Amino acid sequence: MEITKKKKIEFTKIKNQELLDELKSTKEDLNDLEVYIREFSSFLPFAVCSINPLGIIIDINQAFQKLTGYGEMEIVGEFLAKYFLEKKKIKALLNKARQEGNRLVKELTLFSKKGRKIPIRASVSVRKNERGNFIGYFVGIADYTKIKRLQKDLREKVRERTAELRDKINELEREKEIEIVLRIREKAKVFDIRKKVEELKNARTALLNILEDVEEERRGAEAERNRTISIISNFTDGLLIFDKEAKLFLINPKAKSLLKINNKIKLLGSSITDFAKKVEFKPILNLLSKDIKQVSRKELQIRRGLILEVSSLFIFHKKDVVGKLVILHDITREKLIEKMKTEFVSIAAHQLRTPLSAIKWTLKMLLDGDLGKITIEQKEFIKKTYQSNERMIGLINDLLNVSRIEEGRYLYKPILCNIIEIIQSVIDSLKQEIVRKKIIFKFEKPKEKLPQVKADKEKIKLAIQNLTENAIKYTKPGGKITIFLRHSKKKIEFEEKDTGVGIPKDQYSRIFTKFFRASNAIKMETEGSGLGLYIVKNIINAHGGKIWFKSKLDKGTSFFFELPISKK
Amino acid sequence: MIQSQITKEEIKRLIKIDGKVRGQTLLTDFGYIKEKKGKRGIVLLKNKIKEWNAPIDYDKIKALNWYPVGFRAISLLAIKEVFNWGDEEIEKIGNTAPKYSFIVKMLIKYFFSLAQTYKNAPLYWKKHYSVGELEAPKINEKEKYLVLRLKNFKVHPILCPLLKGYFLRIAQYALGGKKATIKETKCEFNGYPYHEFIITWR
Repeated sequence: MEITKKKKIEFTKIKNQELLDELKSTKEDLNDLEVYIREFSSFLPFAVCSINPLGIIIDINQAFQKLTGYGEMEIVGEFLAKYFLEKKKIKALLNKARQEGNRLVKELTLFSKKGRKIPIRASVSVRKNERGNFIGYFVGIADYTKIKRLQKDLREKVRERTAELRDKINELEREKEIEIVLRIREKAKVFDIRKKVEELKNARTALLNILEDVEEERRGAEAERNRTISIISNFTDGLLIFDKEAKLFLINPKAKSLLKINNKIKLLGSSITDFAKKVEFKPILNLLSKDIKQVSRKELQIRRGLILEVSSLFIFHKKDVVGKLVILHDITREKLIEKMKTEFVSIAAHQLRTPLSAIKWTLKMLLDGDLGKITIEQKEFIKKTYQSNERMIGLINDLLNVSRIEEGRYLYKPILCNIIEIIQSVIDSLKQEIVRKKIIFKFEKPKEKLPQVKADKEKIKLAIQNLTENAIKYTKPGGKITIFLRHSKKKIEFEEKDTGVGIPKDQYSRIFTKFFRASNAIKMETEGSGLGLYIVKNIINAHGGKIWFKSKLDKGTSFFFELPISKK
Repeated sequence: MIQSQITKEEIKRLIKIDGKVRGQTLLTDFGYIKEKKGKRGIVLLKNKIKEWNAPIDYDKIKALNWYPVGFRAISLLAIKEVFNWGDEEIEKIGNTAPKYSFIVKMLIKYFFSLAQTYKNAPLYWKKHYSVGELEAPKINEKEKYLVLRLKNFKVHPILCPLLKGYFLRIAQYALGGKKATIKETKCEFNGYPYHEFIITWR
């Protein structure tokens, strides 16, 4: 019994020792396991954290601390999402992993303690206990910084390489293009050279043709020049040509002869002033220095027995003035004949006027009954004869006036006179005729007082009378005549406007010439010497005035003249 | 040299108290000082332990080995004295301890809900301490509070703020982002039959 008890105690001791040994061994294994887990966690290169079901960090390994810079004390117990840029995404990832029970991976961005954004790849797997209950997550975090950098570098390198390749391709294409262009240019060059040779050949032929033409032209021009020179040399008028710089370019023999120029005197290239001095031909200065636009003509007595009509005109080439031509026309003979004619007219008129005056007075005495009684029939005949004699006297007076004008003896005696009074006296003298023809006659005087003009009263009166008589004569009965008088500081302007027959346009230029009567005037009034307007023009010009007219056929005519106002 | 307030007799008494504690709890204290005070702090702490002739060698302590429960009190008293810390810092050590605790990480399976966490409280306690019983007699999720009671655990009052911080952290793990507070409403050192902690949250 004792032995059995001892054996039992011995057995129990052995069993206890075995249990103690087992416990000791388990404890050692547990400690080794703890160390192993700790070391494993420390040496694990990937950041790993343990998360509870609420998303709170329970544990982190050293790689996690190294990656984020956070210590265990700082981060354990905090929400995992707090450390992610994409907070919603990490939460969603955790939820999805819980629902699906799979390991899920997503690229996200983690914040380091210093605020650096770390590109990471998060792997989430669900933790379950032995009963299969969900107890949290393991989250593994792979640092993608280097990979991202590599990716970026790679992308950049690819981009750079692509750009380099593109540049290379472009360069090659450019080179190819240049080569093509060069080839084309070379071809074009050869083509151009051939073309140019051809053109040169053609040009040479053309030039030879032109040279032939030019030679022909030259010969023609020379012949023409010779012809022109012979014409100019043999021209019956003297010719002087000044170039556009007003220097003598040409003088023909006739001009030399007229101006008695010695051949020894060098005249070509002389200015107009030098020329005038050298040949003692000063009037040419006045004539050529005037800014004339068209032909200028003047009669000049060069010396006794030589009267020249000197005409000056511009020479145009297209529209440009290339010089001035002076024509010296010897009119000595014409002037002599004209003088003789004028003298004849003067003598004839004088000789005729005396018997005509005698006839006038005799007829007047017969009409007045001073020489005895005459019958009514006789009286009518004598009256007509008297009127014809009056017209004859008028014509003789006109002819005398003209001859005086032409002889230069029509000198006027200027005195200060009132032009209104002169006009009024003319109107008064013609009143009977105005009334007879039932013409409405108006004299529009200026409102202000007119200054006096220095004029030959009789001659001005004659001029106004001639104009007014013409107006009455060529205005049909019932027509209208108006005299206007205007003035400025320097001149008085006279206008006589009628509603008469007017002047045909083609006869405007001859209206102030001697013995001219317009065709419609001749038809209307058979009588008229054609000297009236010629005398009027000479009177006005002799007063330093100007005369002109405006007319419309069958509508009427306005004659104007202006006289300078004398200051004293 | 400043005279220590803890006597060698007190140290001896604490070493002789019945009951064991896992090496992990001591290592969490050590880890906290390492983190907060660095190497210099470690040296000071070790010197203080040596000064008290306490047989605690932090370098040799194994997380899963059992050590006299008084070691935990001595370790905290040394920390308190060396760094002149108050209860608040001790509470912080307690609050931080789960972050370092290997055991806590192993026991994470018990924290998947508040109810589960505190249902498993006795088991959880036994994994750390061989004396004392932890229980959760009342959990009211509607009114947002729970009651924890720790019986037969009269080691040293310095463990009260430590456990306050510790229990709060566990609650925080289970409550997520909710703001939680803890109060020790009853204490064995104040004549109560147990320690009672009430955790409330919003």
